[in-house]
Amino acid sequence: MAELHNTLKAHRTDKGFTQASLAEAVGVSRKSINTIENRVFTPSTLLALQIAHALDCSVHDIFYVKDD
Amino acid sequence: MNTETLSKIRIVVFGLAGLVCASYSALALLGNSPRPFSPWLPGASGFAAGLVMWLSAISAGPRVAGMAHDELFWVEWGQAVKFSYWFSIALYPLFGIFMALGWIEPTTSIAAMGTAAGAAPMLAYCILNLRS
Repeated sequence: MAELHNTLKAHRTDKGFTQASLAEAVGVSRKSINTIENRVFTPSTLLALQIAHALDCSVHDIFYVKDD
Repeated sequence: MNTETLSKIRIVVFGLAGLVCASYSALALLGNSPRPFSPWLPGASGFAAGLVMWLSAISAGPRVAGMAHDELFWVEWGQAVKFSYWFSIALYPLFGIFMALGWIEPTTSIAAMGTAAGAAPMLAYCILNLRS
């Protein structure tokens, strides 16, 4: 079954963001960022694009589908 | 006031209001009494919860309030409401059986079911939020 994975934590730390500062930049709670990183919560397309924009990369760089 | 504080306030007030409603329901059921304690208390606790959340959001400002009520909140709240919808529906046959067996009076059923249905979304949200 295909599952959505992400490299958000790696991209975030590379750009020098904390969970709180990235949350502030995209206008969500720190918990949202945390749950996305831990794959507990799947963000909407809009939020995924906002995160990618804040991290100055493509949404495909952060999110990818993995077949298990 | 920041997003974390606002989220914690929300959990506390939802939890307290939910527990008051759930306690009313449980005590009504156990004591077979439609009035185990003041019937104003469940409604008042719900109103107080709404008031505290509203005042907290006002004092935090629109940006922080918006961040605290982001899409994760709405997803979890949506799941809590879905659960409580089916929970509330399931109460009807359950309490129908209780009444058919003569365990509880119809007036007690109304009180217990009403407050259980009120408690369900608030407590379900707290559980979902604390698990995530």
